[in-house]
Amino acid sequence: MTISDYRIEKRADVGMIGLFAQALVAIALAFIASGLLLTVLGFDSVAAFDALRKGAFGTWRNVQGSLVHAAPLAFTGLAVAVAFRARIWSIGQEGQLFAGAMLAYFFTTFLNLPAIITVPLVILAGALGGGLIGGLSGKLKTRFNVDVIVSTVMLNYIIAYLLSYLLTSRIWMAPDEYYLQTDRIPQEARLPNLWRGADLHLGVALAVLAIIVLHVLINRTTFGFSMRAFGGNPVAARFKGIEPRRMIVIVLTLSGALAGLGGVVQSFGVDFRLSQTFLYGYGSAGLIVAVIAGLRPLSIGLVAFIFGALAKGGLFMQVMADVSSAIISAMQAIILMFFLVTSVLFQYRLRRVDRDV
Amino acid sequence: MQSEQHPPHLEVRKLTKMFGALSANSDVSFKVVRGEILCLLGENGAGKSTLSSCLCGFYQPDSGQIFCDGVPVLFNSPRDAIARGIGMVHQHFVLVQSMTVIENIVLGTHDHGWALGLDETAEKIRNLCIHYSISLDLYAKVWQLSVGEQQWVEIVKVLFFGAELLILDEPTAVLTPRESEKLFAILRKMTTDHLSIILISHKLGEVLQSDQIVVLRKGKIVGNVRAVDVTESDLTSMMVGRPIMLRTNRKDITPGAPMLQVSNLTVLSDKGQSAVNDMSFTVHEHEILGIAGVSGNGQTELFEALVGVRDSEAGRIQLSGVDLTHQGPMDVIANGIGYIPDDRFRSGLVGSFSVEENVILGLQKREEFADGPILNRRHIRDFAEDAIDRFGIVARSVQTRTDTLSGGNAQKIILAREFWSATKCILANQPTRGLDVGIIEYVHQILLEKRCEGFAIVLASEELEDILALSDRIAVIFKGQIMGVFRAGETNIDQLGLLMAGQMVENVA
Repeated sequence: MTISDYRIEKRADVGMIGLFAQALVAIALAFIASGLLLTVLGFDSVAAFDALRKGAFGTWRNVQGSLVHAAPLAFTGLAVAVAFRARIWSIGQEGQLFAGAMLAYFFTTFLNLPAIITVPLVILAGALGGGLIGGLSGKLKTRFNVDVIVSTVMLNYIIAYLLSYLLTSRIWMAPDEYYLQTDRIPQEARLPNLWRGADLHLGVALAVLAIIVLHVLINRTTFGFSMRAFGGNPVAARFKGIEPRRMIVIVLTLSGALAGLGGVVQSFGVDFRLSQTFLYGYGSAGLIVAVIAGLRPLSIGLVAFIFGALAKGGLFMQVMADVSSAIISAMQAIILMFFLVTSVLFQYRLRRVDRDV
Repeated sequence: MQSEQHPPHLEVRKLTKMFGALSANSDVSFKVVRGEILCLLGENGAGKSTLSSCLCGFYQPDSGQIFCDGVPVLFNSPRDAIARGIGMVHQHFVLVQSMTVIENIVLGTHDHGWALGLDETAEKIRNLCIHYSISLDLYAKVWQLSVGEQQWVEIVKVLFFGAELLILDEPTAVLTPRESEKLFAILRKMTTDHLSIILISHKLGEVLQSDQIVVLRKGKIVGNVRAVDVTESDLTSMMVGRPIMLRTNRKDITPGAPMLQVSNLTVLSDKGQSAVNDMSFTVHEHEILGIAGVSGNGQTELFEALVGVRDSEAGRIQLSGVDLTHQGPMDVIANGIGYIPDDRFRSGLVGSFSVEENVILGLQKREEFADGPILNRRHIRDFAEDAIDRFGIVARSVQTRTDTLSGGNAQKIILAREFWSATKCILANQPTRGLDVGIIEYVHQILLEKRCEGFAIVLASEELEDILALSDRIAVIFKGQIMGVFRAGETNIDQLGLLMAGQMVENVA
């Protein structure tokens, strides 16, 4: 007699199709869970999700809005991916994002040049500001063996409070300003729109460019190869001539520069002011984006777009269905949780086993 | 019958384990009687490790049954197996490097609640060690221990968990002859305590010290014999399917000009003590210098200094006149030195990399594999496919992840890479550790070929047979110093053995 039973076993390789299916399942489950959350809170979840969809994709203008929201997330996501692919646990993206925006803003306070010079300068300053802070964490690690997690978190606080100081002490605040925010960024320093009448600004194009560059850098270049080798096995990498100290500093500088660009893209493309609240949360959201995307640059672009759409749609939902847009943060976290759960589950499969008795 | 009154300690009936379409074990049946040492013998990929992983709950067999003391059992995890008294000592140790020995042992237990209760445990472990005369510093960090010592930690851990049937995967691969003897003495003591042992090995000498031998080939049992009934050559032909000759035909070549010159080299260990002490030697073209010594006598530090990952305190390293003292690995590689490390998955390969990535690891910037900063993926693929062909690497494709390969195939990736990039000198530290006869024969052959081509080769091995078979000259290393250098043929295993233990001998050449 033969008895069949089912056994769970580990898959050798999940594969691209598996990863895609996993993403769909995770997002579907996250929407169901969020729907339940909305229902429990007493909202009509169908109406709310419909508003969310319209807000994110309803018109071309809304799609542009979603892309604009996605741009800084793509940058912080890429910043996380670069560091994590090398297995360097930097979580300083938030501080580096602030630093990039702050250094760029600093130049605009005294420079008075035409846009054609100011805009590139502002972009470079953003990369420089973030890169310096990232590089500092790298130096602290290689020189004094300070844990990267510790130094990046500390620097997050230091930079956020530095902005707070510059505002409350009124160094960066207009004399007649009531809110804790800087004066408006002058027109010639703002990131221009991509074409007349577009909502897409230069920062979105930069984000797309960064995604492609990072994809090539990580997968196709000798530097990316060394970086992944270092991440996979730093001991073997060192035996094969990949100098760990150099690698740590370079990776953290590059990661910081990307986060810094994210700060410029948001402040100089959307907000046109600096304030603590405007830039708050892009670091942790970038972390979520990168982890969901499996630290792959092209996937980061896609996930950032989904998150950008959630943010854009969330605003619309708030207006139309009277649902607080705070629910969007909850949804992002819910998506991450389902992603983590499904990524473990998808490593296994159920198999029928016939047994003779 | 007696066996019906006392069911065997472990019985395997018709066990089959498939990986996709590949059958790693098919229809395997055997019994282990309590208090016996059973040896699983077979080449790489014969299915020994898969079989033992099924027995310890790491894998679940696709069909077949396992009985423990006559009771059918089903292990869903190693935890189930240990609850049944079956414990495994893996070939690649699963210890937390930054923790102490005792922390590592206690880590796997479940009865410590919130507090670790290290003191009482220490007492128990110490008693175990005394009972089996194992000397182990319980408060040393694991990374400070030699590979041989780490294995004792694994064995003590399994005993501490209450295992009555121990499965040891290639335990002597990391031990010196002396340590191996000690291991067997301890295993014998365990069997008199009614523990049973399943030993995985391919070293015929020690296989014959067990009671029962099960020979596997291509996943099937091709022989099940009592050790007293067979000879070494019976076993080899069963295992390989053909008679094999480990006697190498070493051509007589007169060594050429000096190639690698090490003078008064002093190197510190991680603990800051001098591991290599004022050492000098020269290796010539067409010459293999064998370094014999018990592991932990400075070999690791010496090789690390030669490849440039560990800076030297004093002395000089020269390669055909070029000063390589204080040079990093990049320069050492660029000057034509190849390195075959003893711990391939730690210092030779990136486990998460594919075969094609590992086969060019460190060479990625060479013009053969990159156009400026961009990797030339076609050239890399062609090179990797060629390497797979030439070295007979068994992998589904060049894209296969390296950590899914067997030790022998992983070693061949390193050989392919290092023999391609090296132009003058090969440093081989335990190149055959953990490999089986067929591949050892291959590694020996290829080292001798390189010797003919004019390479200077430094070969460290704990297998004195290897050293004697291959070397032109033999240096014995003890506590970071060279005790003596001999011409091959002017010495023997006994003399080398004494020197390895630190005893001075007259007539040093």
